[in-house]
Amino acid sequence: MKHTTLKIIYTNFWSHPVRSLGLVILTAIASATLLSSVIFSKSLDAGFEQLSSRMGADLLIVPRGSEAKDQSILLQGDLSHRSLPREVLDFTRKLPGVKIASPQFYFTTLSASCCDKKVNIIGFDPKTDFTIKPWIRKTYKSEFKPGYVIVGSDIDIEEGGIIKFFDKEFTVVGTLEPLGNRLDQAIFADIETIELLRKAAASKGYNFISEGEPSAILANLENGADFEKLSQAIHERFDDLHVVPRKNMFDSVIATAGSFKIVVWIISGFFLLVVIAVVYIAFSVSTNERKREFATLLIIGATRKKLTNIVLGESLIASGSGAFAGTLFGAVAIFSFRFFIQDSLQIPFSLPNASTIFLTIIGALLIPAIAGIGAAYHIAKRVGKIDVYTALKEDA
Amino acid sequence: MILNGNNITKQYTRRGEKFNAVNGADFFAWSGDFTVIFGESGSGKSTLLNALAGVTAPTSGSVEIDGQPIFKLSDEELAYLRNGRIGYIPQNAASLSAFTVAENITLTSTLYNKKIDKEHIKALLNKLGISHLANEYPQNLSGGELRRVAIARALANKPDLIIADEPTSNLDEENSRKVYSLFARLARTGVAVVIATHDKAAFGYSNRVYHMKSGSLVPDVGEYGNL
Repeated sequence: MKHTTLKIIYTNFWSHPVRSLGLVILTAIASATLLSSVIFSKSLDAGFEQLSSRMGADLLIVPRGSEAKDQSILLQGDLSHRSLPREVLDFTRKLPGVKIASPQFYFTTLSASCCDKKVNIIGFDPKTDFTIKPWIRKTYKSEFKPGYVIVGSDIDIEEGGIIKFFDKEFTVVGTLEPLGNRLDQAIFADIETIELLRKAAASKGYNFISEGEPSAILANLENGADFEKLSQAIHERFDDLHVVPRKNMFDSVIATAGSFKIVVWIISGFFLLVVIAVVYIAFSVSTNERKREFATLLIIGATRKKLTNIVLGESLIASGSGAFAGTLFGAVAIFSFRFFIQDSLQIPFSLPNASTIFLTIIGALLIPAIAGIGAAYHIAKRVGKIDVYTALKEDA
Repeated sequence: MILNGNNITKQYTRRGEKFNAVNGADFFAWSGDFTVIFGESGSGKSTLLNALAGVTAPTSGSVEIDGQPIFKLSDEELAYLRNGRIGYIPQNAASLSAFTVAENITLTSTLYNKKIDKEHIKALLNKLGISHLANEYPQNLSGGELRRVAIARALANKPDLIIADEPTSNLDEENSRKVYSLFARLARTGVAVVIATHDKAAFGYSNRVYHMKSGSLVPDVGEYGNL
C-alpha cells in the first residue's frame, strides 16, 4: 500500500478519535473475552483430564458431613479434618467385589518451615495406593522412605532440601509439575512419614491427627461388582460416613464447570456480534459522510479497488489494534488471576499446553479482527462502486 | 489528443421511473480546442462531463480518447488515465478534510508516487490567487477558494484534457476572468479544454460551443459557434 493511501487511512482514522477508539475498545473487549473463554474452557478440560488420569477410583468413602467437600478434597486438596474409623478400611477390603482399597490422609498445618500460609498435607499408602502414586511417579521414581516428602510446584524448596514440621526435619525428594490448583501448594507423604509427623505434632501438644484414621478411602471394584450392594453393606455396618460412586464424584463440579463454560461462550459470542454490528454501523455512517471525498479520490485517479482498500485499511487499524490490545490484556489477566479463578470457582483449572495457548492467542487475534474487517467489507465494496455524479450531487 | 463521444446515453431511475439524463450525445474535441457546453441546470451537462472524464460509464455509446474506448480499459488503466491525462473539475468538487490545501493539490502526484513539480504548483497557486492558503485546511476556506483549489488540483499533473463543470461558480467576476484566461492559455499550448457552464462570458474564450437541452447535445453554429 502506498504512502498516500496509508496517510489517508491514518488521517481518516484519527479524524473521528472517539468513534475510532470506541471501535478499538470494543474489538479489544471481544478479543479479551474470546481468549478468556477459550483458555477458561480449555483449562477446565485440562483440569478434568488431569484429575481423571489420577483419579481412577470406582468409589470414595468419606466421613458424613464432608459430602459437600468430598469433591473439592479430590479436586483441589481442600482438606477436611474429619476422619473415618480405622475399621472401615479393613471392612471395605474384605467386601466381595472390592479389588483394592487405599486410605488417604488429609490435614492442614501452619507449622511448616517453608511457608507463611497453610500447607496441605496429603498422605497415602504406597503399598495400596492407585491414585496418587502413578501421578507422583512421573517426578519421583525411587522408593518412599520414612521422612521423605514430595512437594507441589508452589512450594519453594529444591530437591534434597529440608522442610520442618513441628521442628522435625523432612527431606524433599521431588517437586511436582504445576497443576494449576491448590495441590500445587500441597505436600505428599507416605503413611510412615505421616506417622512421624503425627508423633512430632503430638510431642508439641497437637493431637489433631488420630493414629491410623484415614480421611478418605478410595476403592476400585471388580468387574461386575454391584456398587449399590457394597454401599448398602458399608452403611449398614458404619454410621457417619458417605459412599460416593465414581459417576457422582464430579457431578456437581462438572455441572458448575459446564454452566461457566456456557456463560463465557455466550458473553464471547455476544461481543463478537456487537463488534460486527457496531463496525458495520460505524463504517456505514463514516463512509456516507465521506462520499464526496471518495468521489474526489476517484476523479483524481484512485482506482475503485483503492477506495475499497482505504475502508478496509481503516477497519484493519481499528479491529487489528483492538484485537492486539484485547488479546494482550486477556492473556495477562487470565495468567495473572488463574489461582484466583480456581479458588473462586472451586473447580479444577489447569492451563492447557503451550501449543493450545499459542493457537488460542492467534485465534483471539484473528477472529475479532476478521469479524471487524468482514463487517466493513460490505461497506468497502459499496464505496468501491460509488457513482461520482450522485455522490457529489447528494451532499453538495 | 482527440476526445470523441459517440451516441452517449446515460439513464437514471428517479422515483421508480427511468429517464435519460443524456440522450444520444455526440461530442468531439481536439487538442487546442476550448469547448463550451452551454445549458440550463438539469439539462444533463454534468452527466455528460462525468462520462467524458471517465468517471461514470454511459448506459450506451462510447467515449474515446485518441481512438481508445476508455470504458473498455480496466479499473487500473482508466484510473491512471484520469490521473495522468484528464484534469476534471466537477461541479461540487470536494477536498479531503484531513489534508492541507497543498497536500490536496499534490494528491494527484502523490497518489501514484509521481515527482511533484513544485515550481508548476507554485505558479498555479499564484495564478489562481491561493498561494497564501497552501497550509490551510479545506474546512477553513470559502466556497470560492475551494473552487480554485479544485481547479489547481485538476491542473497539477499537467493534463492534456481539462474538463470543468461550472468552473466559475462561487467565483467573482475577476476570479472568473482569471480562470477563463488560464484555460485559454492552456488551450493555446495544445490542451483540450471542455467546460460546461451557463455563464455566457465563457463564449469569448472558446472556439467551439455546444448547447445542451433535456439531455440532447447540439453543436452551435450561430452567434457563438466557431466550428
